[in-house]
Amino acid sequence: MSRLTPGNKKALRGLLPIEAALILTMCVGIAVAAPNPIDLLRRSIAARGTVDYAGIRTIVLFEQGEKVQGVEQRVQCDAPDRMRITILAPPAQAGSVCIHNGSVRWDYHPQESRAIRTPTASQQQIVAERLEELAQLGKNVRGQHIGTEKIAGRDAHIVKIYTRDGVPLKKSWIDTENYFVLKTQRFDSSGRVRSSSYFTKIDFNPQFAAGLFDFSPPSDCTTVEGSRPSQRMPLNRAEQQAGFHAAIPSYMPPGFAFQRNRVAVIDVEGQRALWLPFSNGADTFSLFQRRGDGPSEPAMHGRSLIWHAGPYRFTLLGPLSEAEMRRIAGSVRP
Amino acid sequence: MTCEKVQSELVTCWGSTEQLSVTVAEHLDGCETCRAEALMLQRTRLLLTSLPEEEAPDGFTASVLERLEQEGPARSWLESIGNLVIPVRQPQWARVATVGLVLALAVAGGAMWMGQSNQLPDEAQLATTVPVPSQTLMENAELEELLRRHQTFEVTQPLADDMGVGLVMYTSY
Repeated sequence: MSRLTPGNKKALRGLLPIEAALILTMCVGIAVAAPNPIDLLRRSIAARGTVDYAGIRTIVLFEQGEKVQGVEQRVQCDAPDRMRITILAPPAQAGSVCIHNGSVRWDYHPQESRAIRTPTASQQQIVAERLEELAQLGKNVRGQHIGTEKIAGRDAHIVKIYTRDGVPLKKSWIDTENYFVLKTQRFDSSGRVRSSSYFTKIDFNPQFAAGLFDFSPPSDCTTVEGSRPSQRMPLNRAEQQAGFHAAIPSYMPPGFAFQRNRVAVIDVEGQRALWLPFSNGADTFSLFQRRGDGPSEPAMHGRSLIWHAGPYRFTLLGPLSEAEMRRIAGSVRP
Repeated sequence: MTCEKVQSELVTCWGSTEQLSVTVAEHLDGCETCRAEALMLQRTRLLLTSLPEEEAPDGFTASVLERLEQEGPARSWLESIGNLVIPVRQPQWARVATVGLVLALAVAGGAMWMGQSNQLPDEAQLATTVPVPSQTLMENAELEELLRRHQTFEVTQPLADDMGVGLVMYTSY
């Protein structure tokens, strides 16, 4: 092995500052070229409470790689707390509106002559909660800044989020100027695109007509009153209130975790029910457990699965495939 | 996977990144060249699908058939139509190739137009893909209530979309 001579050492001393400067320049260069993906997500959550906009958005859903539903919406938002979504297509749903104004949400379906009024948390509360959850989620997911692309004529950062095991969860296109989310894709557990939502037109200096975010149900319309937001608590406290133990599924799709400290006790059909939430940060599913009957074999009803085991009735609800839902149900042992 | 294979798959779906295989989608995430190729194909598709439909002028079909008869049976129909649009002094292969290209573009444009018009499926299409619920009214009300609760939780998740996307996810209820 060669040893450093005094001459070499002197030359090395001269080189070190140059190398250090080069490394520093490269690091700065990389930092400038590739923004931190989690930081971009943080900014995009905060932008929900500050950016006004009006735009047209398309949402397409896929199942097993096949397109099953497509919807076009007009979305108008007067930040922080007022939002109106109007369905434009398909024709059977056109005219349905969803309005969020302060702490009330209205869903109106003219075809059914029905309006639902639901008290909700304010947008500021939701943004604060999401930022807090993101800080926790950062430990369980990894993000990648892929590059930039134009969406609806705007430059957007592309950020892809994976579970620690490398399963893709979500891809977001975030406006480079104001951090508004222009497009998202969500993936199923096998990595296929499950939904795609993207703006085709967007205006960040919109003018809103007076009363756009107000809603009064028509006189011939049935009005349904939704429940107030539930109080969330740790599992053991919720079990005490409900009077029975929760049956937690032993199987969960990749990346999902039981939200042990966000359990709620709600009233369903006069029975106390445990509401057990599960999340991977992007998608959620809920398992409701109460005393009661139901089908002995799990049966699908829309996007929910209902079954009965022991003295309990279970309802599993979420944007999962039927196969995944049945697998979760099969792992519940009361 | 090589750029060549990725670009070959991109061509078959005209640059749409929605239905690509996972391997190709992953490749696109890290390859600037292939993303540019996808973008170029998407723009071409947009251009083709945005062309207005043109009606043929009165008497066009009759005049084409008449010219075909005059040209006699020795020439192929492709070559004969080529004579209508390319001067006869041009080589025969050029006339045939031009007509072939125009027809290919018309067919491709038509196919893409059909593809686009299918993007928002009608009720009949959806009826075949969405299971018909058979629950009682009481179960309906209970499910609706649980769904609303679930959605209030969903929007608090850090990577969740806004309530407009949630509306569509659960439309089949």
